[in-house]
Amino acid sequence: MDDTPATSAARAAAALRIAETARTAAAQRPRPLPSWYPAANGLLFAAGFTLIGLQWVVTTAPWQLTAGCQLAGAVLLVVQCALAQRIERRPGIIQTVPRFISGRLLTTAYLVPLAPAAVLCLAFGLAGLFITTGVSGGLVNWLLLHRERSMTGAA
Amino acid sequence: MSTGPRPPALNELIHHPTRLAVMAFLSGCAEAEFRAVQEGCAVSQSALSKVAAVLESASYIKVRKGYVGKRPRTWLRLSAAGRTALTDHLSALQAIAADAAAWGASVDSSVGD
Repeated sequence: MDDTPATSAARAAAALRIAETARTAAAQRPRPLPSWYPAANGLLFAAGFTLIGLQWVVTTAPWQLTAGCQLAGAVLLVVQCALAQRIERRPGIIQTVPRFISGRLLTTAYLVPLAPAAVLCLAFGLAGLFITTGVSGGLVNWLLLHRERSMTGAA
Repeated sequence: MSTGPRPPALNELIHHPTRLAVMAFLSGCAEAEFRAVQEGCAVSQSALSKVAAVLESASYIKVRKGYVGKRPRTWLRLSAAGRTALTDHLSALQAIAADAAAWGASVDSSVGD
């Protein structure tokens, strides 16, 4: 076959478009993320971990209050997971790292908050670990989902 | 005779549009059910079966069979070798497109002189 550079380029560009279209079809969300979802996800995560961590802050509280906080925290985390499953999951496809962010940046975004969490764990024990992890992790969730929503042109 | 760098090598196995689409689709997710790949790439069941068999024999994809309830399901995912092959192939395509653009620019400038 004696292709000119122009025809080779046209074929290469067509093949690249096929690949990009197919990859986008696999990576896209089942539906656009609702506007309230990034905040709800982040707040549920933060509130859940904070409520669980409170048991080590208020050590003089009656056991009913401590148990209630633990239960409420666990319920909020379950709700956060259920919500993520319902809104983000796509039947038949197991999603990988979202396309709007690189795998390295995603890992960094979640690892960086662990540094202050570890420091506060040494200073305040498990309360510091849980509350800092919850607040910082919730904030990271919120920011990443908000970024994804704005980059994918959600409705 | 060209004195430029060696042209990038295209992978003949995944150069076919359907194979390329399936590989690219699988690169966009961790694992996908057979039917999801079929719908996502807009190919028939028999065509996808053939493509999957060829790509599996080349160790570019991994096929896992299982059940959801009592219904049999087939799951496909890209192997590490497949991901590398796809990346190399796309790089080669991009290089061809870039070379052609440079060639076109040089032709334009020589015509303009």
